[in-house]
Amino acid sequence: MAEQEEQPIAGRSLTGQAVALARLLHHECTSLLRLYTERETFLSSYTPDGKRLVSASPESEEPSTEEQVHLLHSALRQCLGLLHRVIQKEEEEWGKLEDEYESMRKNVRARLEHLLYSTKGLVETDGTNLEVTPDNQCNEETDGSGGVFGFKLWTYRVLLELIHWSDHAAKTLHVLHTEREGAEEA
Amino acid sequence: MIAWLLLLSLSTTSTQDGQENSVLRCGPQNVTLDYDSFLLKWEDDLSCSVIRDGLVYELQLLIADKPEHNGEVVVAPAQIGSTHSWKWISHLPSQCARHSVRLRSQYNNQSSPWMQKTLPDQGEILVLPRDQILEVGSTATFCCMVPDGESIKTMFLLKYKGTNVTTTKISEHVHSLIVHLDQESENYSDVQCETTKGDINGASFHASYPPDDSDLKCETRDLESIDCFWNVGRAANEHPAMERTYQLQGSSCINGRSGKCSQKVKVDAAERNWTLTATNRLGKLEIHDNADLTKRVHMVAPDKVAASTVNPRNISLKWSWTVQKYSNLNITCQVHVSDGNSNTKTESIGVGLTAAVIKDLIPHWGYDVRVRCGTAQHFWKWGDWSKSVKIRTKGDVPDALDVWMKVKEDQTVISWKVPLANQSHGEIFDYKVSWAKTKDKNQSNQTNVSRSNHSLTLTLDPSEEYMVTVTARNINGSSSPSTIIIPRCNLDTSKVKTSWISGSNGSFFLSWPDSPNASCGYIVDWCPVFGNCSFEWMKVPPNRTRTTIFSKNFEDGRRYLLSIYACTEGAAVLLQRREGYIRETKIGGELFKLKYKQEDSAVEVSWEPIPLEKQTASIHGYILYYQDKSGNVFNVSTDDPEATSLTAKNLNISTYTFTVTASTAFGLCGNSSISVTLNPLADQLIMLILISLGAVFLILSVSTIICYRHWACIKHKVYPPIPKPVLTDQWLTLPDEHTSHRLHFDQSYYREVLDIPKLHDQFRPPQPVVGQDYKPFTFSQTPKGYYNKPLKKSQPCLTLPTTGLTSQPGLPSSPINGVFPNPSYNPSYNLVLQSVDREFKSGPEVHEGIPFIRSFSGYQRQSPDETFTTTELDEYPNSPISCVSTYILLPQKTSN
Repeated sequence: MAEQEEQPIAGRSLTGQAVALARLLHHECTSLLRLYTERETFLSSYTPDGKRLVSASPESEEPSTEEQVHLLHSALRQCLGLLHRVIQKEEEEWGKLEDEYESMRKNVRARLEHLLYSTKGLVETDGTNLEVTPDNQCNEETDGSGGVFGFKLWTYRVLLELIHWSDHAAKTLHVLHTEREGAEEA
Repeated sequence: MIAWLLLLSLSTTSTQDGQENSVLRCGPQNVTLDYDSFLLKWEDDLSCSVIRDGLVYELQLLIADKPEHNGEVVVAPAQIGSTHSWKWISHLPSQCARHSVRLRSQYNNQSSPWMQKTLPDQGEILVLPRDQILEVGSTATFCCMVPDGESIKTMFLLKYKGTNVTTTKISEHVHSLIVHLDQESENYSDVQCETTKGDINGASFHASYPPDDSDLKCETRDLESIDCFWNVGRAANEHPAMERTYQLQGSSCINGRSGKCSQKVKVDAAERNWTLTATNRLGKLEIHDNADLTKRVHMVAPDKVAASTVNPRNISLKWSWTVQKYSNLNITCQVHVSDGNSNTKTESIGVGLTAAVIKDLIPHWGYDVRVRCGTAQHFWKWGDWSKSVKIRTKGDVPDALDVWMKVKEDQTVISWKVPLANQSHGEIFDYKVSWAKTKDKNQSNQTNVSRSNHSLTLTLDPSEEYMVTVTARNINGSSSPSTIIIPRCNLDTSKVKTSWISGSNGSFFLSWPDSPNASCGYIVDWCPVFGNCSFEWMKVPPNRTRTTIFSKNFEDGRRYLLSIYACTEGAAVLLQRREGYIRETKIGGELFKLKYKQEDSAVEVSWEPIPLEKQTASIHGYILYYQDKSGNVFNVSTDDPEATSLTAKNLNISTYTFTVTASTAFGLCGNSSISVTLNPLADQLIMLILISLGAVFLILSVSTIICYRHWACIKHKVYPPIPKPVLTDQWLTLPDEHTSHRLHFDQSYYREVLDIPKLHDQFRPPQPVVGQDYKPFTFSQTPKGYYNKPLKKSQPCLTLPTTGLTSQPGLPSSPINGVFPNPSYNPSYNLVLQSVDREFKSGPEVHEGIPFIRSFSGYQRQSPDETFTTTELDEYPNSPISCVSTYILLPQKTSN
């Protein structure tokens, strides 16, 4: 908690900028979910099961902070893939509505892509090559088996996943920021 | 041998019910069932690959665990190993019941075990049908089903405003919802179902309409293709699932949603049926148009429109066509000419028309010109407008000026209106004014006036008639002359009455009777009544006798004089005059400079005439309010707007506040006050006292002089010499002489005494009249006499205070002179009644005269005032007069 209160200043360092970006993404994902539930009001009383749509398993039991950021980067790519699928299918089903929800959805996608570039810049080394393209693992059976109504439920889960992983990104990147900034100051 | 072994491996032997059965290993696997279409898919088990002669799958559909339908799928040897499918199309209405499908393979009288797929499966909430596109007006039924072990809590409709919804609980596991779709969905609407555990699922649907396009109209623009238009109807740009597709004559339209479709066709002079097909998920619609396209030519816009010839008042236009086939068409073209303020359209016609002439243009003027055309024969509609081109006409001489004049004594102001841009036809250089006597036109004077001036003041002989001509000059030459006749004398305005006029909405509306003199119409001019008369005018055509005058120079609260003239071949004739305000405004501030003058108990409050420039509203009259110290307010008023004073009468000696106010349409305005303390009438009293004292002094002086001059006589009378005792006999003879002498003296005395009352009468102040009827004693100074003035108290004769006096024998006396007792008065006094006849008629006629009654209150000192004389006495100097002064004791001879 005390760590979260320590606010990195944007522009001060790459890690600081990444933390700020993740926090902004988290805020926007929350807003996107709010707008979506305003449109689909039945979702306000819906509690999906606790299954994660996106998972990132560490190779070691106690991964380092850099390894955690690697995993985070992988999870964010999956999130971007899910979001792309949501956008694509929503446009198929509803067309372009050009409302506040669509505007926020567009912001979240751009912000998530930006965060992927940030995390890549933070942990990519000469020996590793991180992708920033969407990792689209979903298919017709995962998102369209339940019809339009099932897709709404699935979208809701995707948005929850975005909130979870953006929050996780803010925390993980803050740890990295603290480690790196502390080492530099020392 | 190997094949036989493989076939043997297809089956296994099992013992069931004491019997040994062979079970086919080759069976279905990876079975899926689509909830919506009820499409069953499966694959063959790997062991089926050895079968060379085909395979049969037996299927069984169960509704509510009861067999409903049986079917089979024959798999050809070549299809073994691929995915197989079976779709059940129910001819029954949607039934809210649990559905199951069982299938197994059969080969050589051997069957594989049943593979069953049930809807809903364990852990599922199934709401059917899903993602339906439904037509507005239909009724939709939705079912919610949950597997055994779960129960439905609720089922309801979301995001649809329909109110005709019925939800039915068929069982704990099955609910149904029926909705009548009476309106279109905004987007996907939902049917939601929730279990008692809190799990939810649902189905979305969209209610919309089948295509309702209408009014197909087809035409051609280039005689090589067809363009069709139609009304796309409602809900054309809605849900992606409802997108319509269009086909014209069987060919797809690229952007049919816009209601327009074009295709290349062969255009010939024949009537054809043109068909448009609109399709969406709810239906298909065909609309038709029967047309001969050669009669449906919608021409494209003329190209390269330009002026071929430009003159001051006409232009020749030319253009070209981008469609070569137009050259054979009989074309009518419309030329639209606009100068920003006005628009005109002219039409031209011709085969393959490419030129037109525009006439009646203003010289040196800018125009926007555009052209559109249509077929002259079988006109269908106007084509597109060409691009607008700007054209400026050439310049010309100015138009004739609008000239008017104003004569004031020997000064004549010639004024002309500034030529507008559309009248000057080029920049004005200057103006030329020439004038001459009409009887001698050869002796003409002229002067040039710079272009910045638009009037000229001439000093002309008022006794001569003049003709004034004004022309304007620009680079192209001089305008036609404008001539105006200045009459010999000033227009006689005395015979023309000025009537009142009120403006409305910032203008004056004028109407006047038709004048036979007005051969060239009427002229109305106007200028403010006060201040510099910068006059304006307007000309009215001969057939009109009314007009409305607007001017940007009109000011509220300012009085204007409007004159209406008849325009003749000679000088203009003044017909009428009007005076009034465009809008009256309230007169502000103190309007009056007040003065006052006290006259007795009246005060006249006066003021200077109100100048017209201060009269921002018409004054209808004035009111004078005056208030005394007690706060009582009185007023006097006048309806005369020319009045300059008002008088307040019957005032008390007090201080008054006088307020004068003007009565206008806005009420009372311009209040001005003055406080006045009335002076007592002291001056008059003093004057009266002085006059009285003077009169007394004069009387005393005259009396003294008279007494002095006649002192000896008076002394002799008052104190007669006491005769000395006469001792001789003469004493006894003297008395007769003495008596005779005394009588003579008395007569002269009478004359002197009669003069004295005359003097007294001149200074006698007016005395109240005792009686009413004094006519015999009322003297008139004029033939008609004085009226409404108190009668002078004059008595033709003196009443003698002496009681019991009788007329002297031998002397003329009053015709009647009697003493009567007055019972209403103190009996100790006597009432003297006296009547006098001018002719001194005798006794009985006295009673017919008007009696003069005078009462005496006890003793009254005889004063000179009470001694009267009349002019009549002078007229009759010999008349006997009975006048006695008590101061002069006349020796009287008693009768007895």
